[in-house]
Amino acid sequence: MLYILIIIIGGIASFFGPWWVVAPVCFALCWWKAKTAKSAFGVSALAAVTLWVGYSLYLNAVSEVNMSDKIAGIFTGGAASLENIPKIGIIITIVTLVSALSGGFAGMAGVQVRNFFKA
Amino acid sequence: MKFLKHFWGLALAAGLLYLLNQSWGTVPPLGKLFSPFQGFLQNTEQKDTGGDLEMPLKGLKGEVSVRYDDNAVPHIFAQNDDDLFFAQGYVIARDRLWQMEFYTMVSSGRLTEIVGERALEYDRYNRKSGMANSAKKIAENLKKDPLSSSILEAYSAGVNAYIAQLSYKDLPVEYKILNYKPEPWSPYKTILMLMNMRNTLSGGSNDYRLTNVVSKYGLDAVKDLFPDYPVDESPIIPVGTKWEFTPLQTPAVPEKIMALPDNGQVALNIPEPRPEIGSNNWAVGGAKSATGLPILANDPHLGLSLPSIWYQMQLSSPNMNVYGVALPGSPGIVIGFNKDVAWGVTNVGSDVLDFYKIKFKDKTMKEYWHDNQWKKTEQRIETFVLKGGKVISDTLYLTHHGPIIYTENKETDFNKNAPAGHAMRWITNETDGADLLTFYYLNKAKNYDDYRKALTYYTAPAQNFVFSSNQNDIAITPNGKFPLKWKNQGKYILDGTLPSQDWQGWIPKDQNPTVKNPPRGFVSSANQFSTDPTYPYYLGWRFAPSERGMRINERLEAMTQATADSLRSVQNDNFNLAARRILPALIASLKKDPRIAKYAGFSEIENWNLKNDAGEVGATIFERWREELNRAIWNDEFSPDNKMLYPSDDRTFEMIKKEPAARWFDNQDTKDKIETMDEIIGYSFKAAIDSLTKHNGSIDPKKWAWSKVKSTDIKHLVPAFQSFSRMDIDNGGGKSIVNATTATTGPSWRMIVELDKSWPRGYGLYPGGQSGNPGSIYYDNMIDKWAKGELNTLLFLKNKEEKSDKIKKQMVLKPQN
Repeated sequence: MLYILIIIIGGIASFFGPWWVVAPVCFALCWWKAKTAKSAFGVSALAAVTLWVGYSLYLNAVSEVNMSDKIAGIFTGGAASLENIPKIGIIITIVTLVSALSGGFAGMAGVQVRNFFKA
Repeated sequence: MKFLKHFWGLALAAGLLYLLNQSWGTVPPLGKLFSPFQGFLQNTEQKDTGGDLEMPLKGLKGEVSVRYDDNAVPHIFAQNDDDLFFAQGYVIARDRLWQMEFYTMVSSGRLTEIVGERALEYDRYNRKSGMANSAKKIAENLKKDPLSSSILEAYSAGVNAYIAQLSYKDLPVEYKILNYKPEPWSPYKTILMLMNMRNTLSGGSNDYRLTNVVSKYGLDAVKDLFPDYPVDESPIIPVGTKWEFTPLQTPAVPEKIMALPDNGQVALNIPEPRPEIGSNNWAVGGAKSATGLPILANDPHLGLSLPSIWYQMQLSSPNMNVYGVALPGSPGIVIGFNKDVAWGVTNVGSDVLDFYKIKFKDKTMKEYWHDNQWKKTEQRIETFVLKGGKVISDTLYLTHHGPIIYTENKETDFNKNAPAGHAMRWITNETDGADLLTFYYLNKAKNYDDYRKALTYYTAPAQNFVFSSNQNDIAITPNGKFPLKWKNQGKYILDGTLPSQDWQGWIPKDQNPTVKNPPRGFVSSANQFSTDPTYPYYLGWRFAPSERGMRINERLEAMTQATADSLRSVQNDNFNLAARRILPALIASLKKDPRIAKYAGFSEIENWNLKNDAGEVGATIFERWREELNRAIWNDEFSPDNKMLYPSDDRTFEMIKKEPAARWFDNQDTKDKIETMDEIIGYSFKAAIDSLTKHNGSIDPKKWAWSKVKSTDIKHLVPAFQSFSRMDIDNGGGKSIVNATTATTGPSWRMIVELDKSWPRGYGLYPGGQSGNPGSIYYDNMIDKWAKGELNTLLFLKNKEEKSDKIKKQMVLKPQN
């Protein structure tokens, strides 16, 4: 339930708000719904990743020019060791890390801070 | 403790968001950039399904219709000129906002704000040279001219209307990667954009290098090796054209013509002129064309870049209807055509950048000696803001010549306690005239007289304006503001203490060289000498090498019944005139040593068809050999490492053919041996083959093909963004070839226009695409066709109502209260 709520509310908020808006959404929803800090981290991270990676893959699929390859190219530069990794893999790894960490820690913080006030 | 237990997660989350929201060194803000809702994925474009778009905009007077064709070229129809230029600014900004602002950051010396300290030295030079300051003055001056001012203000308002619509996710992707935001546009920024062209096209100088040559070898050697006019030349104004004016008295050559360096050599850090940044244009008259009316062609050669320097568009209002290319950031069409006329430009390249050695009173540099008195310098503090906020300041000193570009903290013969300074006098810092009005009047020109009137507004960078009309006139004019100089004034560093060395005034604009309907039936230019030595004024001692101009002229000379397609074949001509001139002599020399005939590459060069076509191995060998030969002859005496320059190819070729015993052939670096010319030629041939073998493996038609070795790259304006670039384009050409495509420069727009009594036919394309967005299919869609030498048929609509299958969508800009 929490997972679905984060995706729906986080998704809508992300269309209008700044890039980091998914974090306060996780914080608030976890404050409200999550049981433990640990589970809050897991569910928030998973939901944020689903949202970000899902939308990234969608945009990547419908675009006419492969922008992911071009952006990944800027990061890898001419580094030969990274030549063989599929470029979209590099992009999705970064998207996953950014969304998992910002969503996860914010969700976890929601439960922690709630407990402070309820204790 | 309890607090810590409950709040560390929140602190961590907040810290993480902060980290991911910032850029760190060259690492962009990962959170912002990689969010699919805000970051680079928002710059991807889905297949355009066409359809109309309506856009209410504040500042418009009436409705403007923008019709986009299948190449994403906008055709703008406005009801008045203010709306036309407003819409032009709006439409260009939609496609090229990042690029146009980037150019202004370059010329105003503000790149450090975007990329940090690594741009500091580059910025410092650009600030010192005064472009930003002069742009400010020009913008101020133009405010007083109602026409210029209304065009510039309308254009700015259009750009700003677009900027006002942008939120972070809509920003061009370069802003996201480099993490900054666009500033509001203004007329000043348009002038800064034009300053960039002045700098590119007239910002080089050999003055100090040649002064070093005089200092080491004496004036006679310079007169011999660096003459004022080449042996082989076909000047822009045909030899024999009469000068139909009474010239002003030119200043007499003073006794002292230069300031020699104090300690053997001067070491200014000034870029060399770049002859490969030249261009071709020509017009054939009706007598030579199949239609009986003129055909005009132009291909300006510039640094190849993505986004492209040009933007195609049609501009239409009750006052004008014109098609061509615009510079992003600048109103009007720069190269193009309308119903009655067509015009184009190439760079003149006359000497409009001089250096003066300045004698300061003391270390403070507050006073300098000129005309037997101490004069005060003006001081200005320049501040540089680095990315991240750090501020660095620099004091700039100005003399009446111009800014002090360089100071040297060593003992000088001028003054033992003061640094030697060098002031720069540069046409770019002239603040009169209104270059943009030249283009405005050309855009609406109807005939030859309109063309001549348009040219009078122009200052710099001086251009060869080629012209043709459907009244069967053709003309060409090397045009701009030219200093009135004594012969060879500014060939060397000048003495800043003597008034005789100051620029002495200007060549009257109506006495700039020009020719209309010459007997040979065509006009042309390729940056070569504007005139032969009979022209009464001094313009410069060195222009671009003559080969391109001579080849164009021999092709046009031979041409009858010309069509757009025959002129296209001239634009793509890969014939190597330098090889025709010198290769027979070089091969004859090689043959004197029977061992060389067995050397790899010899049969390839001997059997080469003299064309720099993409697949030719002979072209690869010749071009490399030419470099090695120059090095072998000249590097011992005139090494660029010693701040000198080589004599021209023209002089070198003449020496090989006529002065085989010249002392310059001997390699000074070998102490106990005197090399002959034949030995040097043989040695350089082997060096060329060895260097090619080292880099490309043993001789092989695939690996040694000219296009592979030349390897033309079209790079993004930020060179580090290699994946936004197109590398290793497969095409021929070369630096003194009509198809002047080198590794990094080339025809940046090719256009051919057949004039007609009823409606002209235009053809053209450029090596890029209309969109500046690397995520668009229109970012680089014209490159492959460009590499093949093909042209698009240009859609030039008669009016807003004209139907065309090529029109794919329409955007209506509506006034908003």
